[in-house]
Amino acid sequence: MRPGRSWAGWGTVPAAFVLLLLFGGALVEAVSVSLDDGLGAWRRLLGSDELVASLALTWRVALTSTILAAALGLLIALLVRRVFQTFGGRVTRVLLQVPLPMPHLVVAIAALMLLSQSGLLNRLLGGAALPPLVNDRFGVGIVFTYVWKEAPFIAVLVLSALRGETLKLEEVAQNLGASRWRVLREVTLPAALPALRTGSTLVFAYAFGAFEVPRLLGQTRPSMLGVWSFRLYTDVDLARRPEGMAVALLIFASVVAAALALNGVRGRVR
Amino acid sequence: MRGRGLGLALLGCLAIAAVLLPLALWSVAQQWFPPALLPQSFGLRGFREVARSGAVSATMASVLIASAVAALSVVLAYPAGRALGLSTFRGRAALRTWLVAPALLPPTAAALGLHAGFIHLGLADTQLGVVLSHLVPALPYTVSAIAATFSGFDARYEDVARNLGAGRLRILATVTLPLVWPGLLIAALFAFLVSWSQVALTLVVGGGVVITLPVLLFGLASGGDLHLTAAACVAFLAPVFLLLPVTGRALTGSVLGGRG
Repeated sequence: MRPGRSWAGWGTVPAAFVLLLLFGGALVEAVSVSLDDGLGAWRRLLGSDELVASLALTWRVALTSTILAAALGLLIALLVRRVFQTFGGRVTRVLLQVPLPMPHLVVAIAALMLLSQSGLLNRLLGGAALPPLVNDRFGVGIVFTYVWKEAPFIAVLVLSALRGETLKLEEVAQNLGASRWRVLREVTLPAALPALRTGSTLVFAYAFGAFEVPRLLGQTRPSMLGVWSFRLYTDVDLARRPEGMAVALLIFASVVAAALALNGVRGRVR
Repeated sequence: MRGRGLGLALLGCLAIAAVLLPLALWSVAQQWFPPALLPQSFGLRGFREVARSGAVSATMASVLIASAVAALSVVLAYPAGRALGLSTFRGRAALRTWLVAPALLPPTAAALGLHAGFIHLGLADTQLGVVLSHLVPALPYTVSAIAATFSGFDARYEDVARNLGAGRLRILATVTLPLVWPGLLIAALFAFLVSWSQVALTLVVGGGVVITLPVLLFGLASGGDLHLTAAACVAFLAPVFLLLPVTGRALTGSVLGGRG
């Protein structure tokens, strides 16, 4: 903002350049390895039943986790706002911070100890015959892990988006005679939407490509795309490497597409 | 009102205990056969064995790698955060998106390509390669934390010092750094934590040769000895909880601000 100086953006160049090298390099390398035997890897991949099954599982798990985490996170935020200044409200706000820095790996391990056949939940229920909750077809344990970790994250984002201006607008609407439901629908939710969108995008992107959580908690076949790409890439049969790369590129493309769809091109560049 | 707040807090405690309690119990359980609800006997076998199974060297590797990532990302992010937080310029929005967007990228999407590329450079399966790969997820957080710091910084302090004849280094050391170091520290902690929790990137780029604490933990968890796994989890979580007071607040302030 200082006048008389040339382009003030030079400072961004080193970091931008390093990311370009690492990230652009990785992308170019991934494309070139995936084309090692011409289009062979892509052809084998696109013709395989496992791709359809893996894609379906990955979309289902990532979408379910995102929707549940967003809904629960929003609900928590709205409830916390009702009791914001009480003792319980303050305690809850501190508790919401706990899952934020917890590594996914640790939460996944805890989910294993909680939900497996000999897990704590089963013991608590006196060995009641629960359906399998880990390594199952639906990825219950995976979804549990993401929701436990990400719902508080979304709640925190929404809470910080609803401070200040929104409070005043809600008061105004109330004073003008709007019902509680109408204030929620026409003032609070629209104000929470951008935070909800940012949070959901992050949760979806992570859940879609994650490795360690579905590797520990998911079934072996079909597995989610992140696990599958890793397995193909590290297969003893080196001829499968290009397929692993192709799957990684599919993950990348899907995440970019989902982020653009959720935020719109305009929203991203703003 | 009061009762409802307490109810909410109680539910929160339950949800957190559901995850932390199994870890804590398994880490100090000596014998715990189903269907017993609590361990039959307690002991520190898990901790002793995990220390013998390479946890010490893995912890050192983790500390070394995460510190290097923190230092490198702060050095790289400092000028970027300063430019983004302090000035407007052509292409600012696009550059900001470019610098922050990799936070969206699932590690698996970049890991395989990075490993293949690093093979040519002799960086695959090395600690340096792992450090460089961790920069991809760490830089976005560091840049947005430092940008948030500088958006609250008044550059006129520097102008005053300059007018009084101070040199560039002197201004940095006596004016700028004393004002922005808390933000830089938070940025470094972010980068440290991002690197500390990384599994997929380390596993792929480190090729199973670079063993960090989470890589060791991942192996233990796949192996299925819950005593060892839980003990390693506790060691792995220690710095996370030490940094908890800082991360929560900073995360909401800076990362969201950084994402605009």
